[in-house]
Amino acid sequence: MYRSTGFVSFVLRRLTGIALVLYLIAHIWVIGSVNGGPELFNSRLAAVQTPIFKLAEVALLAAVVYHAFDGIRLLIVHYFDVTEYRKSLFYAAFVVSVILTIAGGLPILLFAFQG
Amino acid sequence: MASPVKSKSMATIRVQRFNPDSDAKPYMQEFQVPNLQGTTLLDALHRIKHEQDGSLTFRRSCRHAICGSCAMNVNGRNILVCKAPLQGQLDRKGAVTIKPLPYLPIIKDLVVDRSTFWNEYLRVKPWLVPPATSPEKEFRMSPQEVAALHNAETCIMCGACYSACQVVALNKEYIGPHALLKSFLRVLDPRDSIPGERLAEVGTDEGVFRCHTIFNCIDACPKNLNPTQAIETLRRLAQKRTAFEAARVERQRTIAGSLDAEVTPAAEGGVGDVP
Amino acid sequence: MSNSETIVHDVIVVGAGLAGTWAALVCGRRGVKDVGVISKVHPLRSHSGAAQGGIAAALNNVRPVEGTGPRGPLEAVPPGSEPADSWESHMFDTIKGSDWLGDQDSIEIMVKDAIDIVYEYEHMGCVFSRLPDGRIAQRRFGGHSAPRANYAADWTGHVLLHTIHEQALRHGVKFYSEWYAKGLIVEDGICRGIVAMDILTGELHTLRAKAVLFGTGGYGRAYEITSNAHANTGDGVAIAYEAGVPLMDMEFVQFHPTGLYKHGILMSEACRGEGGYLLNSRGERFMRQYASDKMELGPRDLVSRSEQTEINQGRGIGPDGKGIHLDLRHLGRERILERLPQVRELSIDFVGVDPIDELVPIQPTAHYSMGGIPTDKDGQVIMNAAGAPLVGFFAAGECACVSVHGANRLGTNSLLEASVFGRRAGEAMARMVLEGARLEPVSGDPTESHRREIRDMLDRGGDESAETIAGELKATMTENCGIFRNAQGLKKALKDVRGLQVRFKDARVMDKSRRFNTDLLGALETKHLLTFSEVIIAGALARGECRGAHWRTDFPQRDDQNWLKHTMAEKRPDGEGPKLSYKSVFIDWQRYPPQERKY
Repeated sequence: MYRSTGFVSFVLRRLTGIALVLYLIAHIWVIGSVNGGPELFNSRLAAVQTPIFKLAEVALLAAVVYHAFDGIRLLIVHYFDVTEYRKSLFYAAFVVSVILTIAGGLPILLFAFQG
Repeated sequence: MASPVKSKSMATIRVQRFNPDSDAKPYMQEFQVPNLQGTTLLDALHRIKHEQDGSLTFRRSCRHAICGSCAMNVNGRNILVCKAPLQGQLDRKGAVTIKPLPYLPIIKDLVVDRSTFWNEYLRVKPWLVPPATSPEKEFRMSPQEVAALHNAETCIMCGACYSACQVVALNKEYIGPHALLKSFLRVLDPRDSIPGERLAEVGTDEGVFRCHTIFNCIDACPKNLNPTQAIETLRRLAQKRTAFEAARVERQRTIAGSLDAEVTPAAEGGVGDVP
Repeated sequence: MSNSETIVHDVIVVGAGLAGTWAALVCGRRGVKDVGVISKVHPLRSHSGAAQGGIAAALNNVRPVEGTGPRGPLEAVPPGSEPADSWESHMFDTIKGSDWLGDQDSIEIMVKDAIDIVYEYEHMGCVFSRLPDGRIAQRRFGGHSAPRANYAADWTGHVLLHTIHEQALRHGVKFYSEWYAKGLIVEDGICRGIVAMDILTGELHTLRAKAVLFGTGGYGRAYEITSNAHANTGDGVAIAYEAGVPLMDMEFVQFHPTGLYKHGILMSEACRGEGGYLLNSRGERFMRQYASDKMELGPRDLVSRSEQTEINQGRGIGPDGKGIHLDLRHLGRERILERLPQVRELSIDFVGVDPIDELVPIQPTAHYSMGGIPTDKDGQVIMNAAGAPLVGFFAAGECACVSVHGANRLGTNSLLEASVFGRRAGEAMARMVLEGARLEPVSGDPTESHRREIRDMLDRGGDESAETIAGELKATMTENCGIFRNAQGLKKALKDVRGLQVRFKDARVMDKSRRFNTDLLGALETKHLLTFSEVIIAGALARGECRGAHWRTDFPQRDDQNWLKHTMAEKRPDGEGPKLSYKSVFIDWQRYPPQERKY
């Protein structure tokens, strides 16, 4: 495939989009179990609070944040004539996503592995 | 302070070869040519063809970036080889990789089959459709209206953008940046009398709404054109089609002015919020 | 198509540049729908698209500001004022530019049709540069006494070519892209079609038609430094000659003054039209010596000769002293970006010089072929000085010789000629077909001899490549049949070319495949270069005078007494060089008698 930042953004957008859909399904699977009574609900909730899932939560944060900021980037590109800055905008969205992922991810992981 | 590229006396040209009549699949072949300053990649290809292997096949004509024949994929990017300095394309080991334009069937070596490219071009009706009556002399078009077309006017239909587009790669029905740029040229031309029909044709899932703003087209264009911007503009106009058509009818009332008539600058043109 | 076929059309056009496409378009409009256009490159790659400066027509949109002289600023002509330009003026400029060898009746048609055809281009959708009031903008050009070059920035040819091609598509013209015309079928004095190769498959086909037009362009590739595309190898001219059609005025080859140094790439005459200077190694505007009135805006042959003289006398620039400087700095950044953007890009891309603040190295470059296939005013090819037609064969554009350019062409007149005479030829062909022309039969298999020739070229195992032979041809043509010529040099060139023709018979083609064989194509093109180069040299050797672009240092005067006539060169059946005869020039002795040509 022809390589470029545009392509990277396109692929990440697709991947994070799919990831978010999968998350949504998992989320409904857990939360929806409220209808099945406290035992079912608690067991499902515990299943998604294992260390692996904590990592997955960080990944989820990354996906949400990237998808959101890339989405904002796209809106800007659609409504303003900024093709001259297309690479800078992509890097900006990417960098903001990374920063926010770290900022949010660190507490998640620290809490998870503390106790 | 000689750069490693310039100090090598020979350059290595890696070319993709393929003759469907005799080869099972494409393969890479290496040639050595003198690493001379002031020579282009096209010069290098010619040297190989004339001195080493006459069967190396590629398209070229004008050699000064106006005919659009020689677009190829060099070091992963689509460029016109006639204006690419040889030394500028060599990596630190003094090598350059040349392949045909991607995503198109290969006819032979670096020559590709552009049928789909030309079909999309035909599809958007590249010809102007003027109003039913023409003036005796020229239509009055202002310098601003002409300037708005500069982005599209110089397109040489080389195919670099089309072949760089990820959407083209994945999607056979996508009209493509070249044809959309052409459509933009006609839609924005105040002399064209079918902007509504054009916007209906390209304002679809196979047209402007298929573009994912990946921007490879801008990166690849040897004329520094901006198909993405053109596509964005068409998107906006497609959503205001009726108003745009009405504005065009209005504009065409004054477009056939005579020498005695008042001047007609773009300000009154009424082509909508065109950037 | 992979099996040999016979294809039939009412009209076949060879060449999809301006001339050919106009002819096809007009046929389509007039109701002759069955038109096939073949082109050895994709139509949009035709060399018409490389033209830069403009297309001439006395539209009268622009005039010099009063009292500011021939290089002063221009202004829009206010509505209702006295016309500042006229077709009569355009006519005189063209006649003078042609050094009185142009046929004046044809020139009159061209300059009158000019006005209408530019408006027609505009109506078809060409995006011309404009004046503030919306009219088409015009600029000065060499050899024209009024600013009448209608332009689209500096990519006029590109705009015209794309527009006319699109219009042809709109009218359903069928294009055979990457088909190469190999031979003209003439039997009993009637042209019946062509033999062409489908480059994709290598297969030869017979194409029969009631009328055939050649719009095959020029032949600058016979020279080392040329503005012409690789495709401009004069195939149409050579094929016609081989079929017995005489060629006219071949010795008149125009060298454009401003080709990029060492590359030959065209730097539009508009550079000088917008006010650029030419400087020698001493920084002098040497044109003062050669054309004190027009200076850099003299006609191309004069300016090229002036440059070459400076170079020959040691005042050239560049490592080999064969260049001249083009100075655009005083035009200012804005004007260059607006009016000469492509020229600037070419300069930056190919010689690393930005004309906004540096001097651009240029040199004369083989640019235009005034000579070619002789025709009447409607593109009908004629076979002798009396004008006997070759029924069914037409030609227009650079490959034809009407003659409107005579011994030298003015800039912006070529886009004009191709358009006007392409259109006229289209009208003539349409008339011919609609009035009931027959599709003439073709005897035997016309492809057979060509098939044999190609087989022979692919099979022979010589050591020398066709490309080496082409290289030597270009060297001798440049050295001996270039800007300045003399008997000794021309005789040497003739000997060289004949030697090369013999060597060519053993030239090898490395690529033996049938599919898209550009090696074979290159060899065929070399053969054609050798064919018509001999005609150029023969004509130049015979013509003992200086006229327009043909300059004999051993005959340093124009000789109207003996040489005010066109050269006609016919192939001799025994193959011993062309047979030369002469055709008179149409001159209106009352209105435009020959004068001294000074600028």
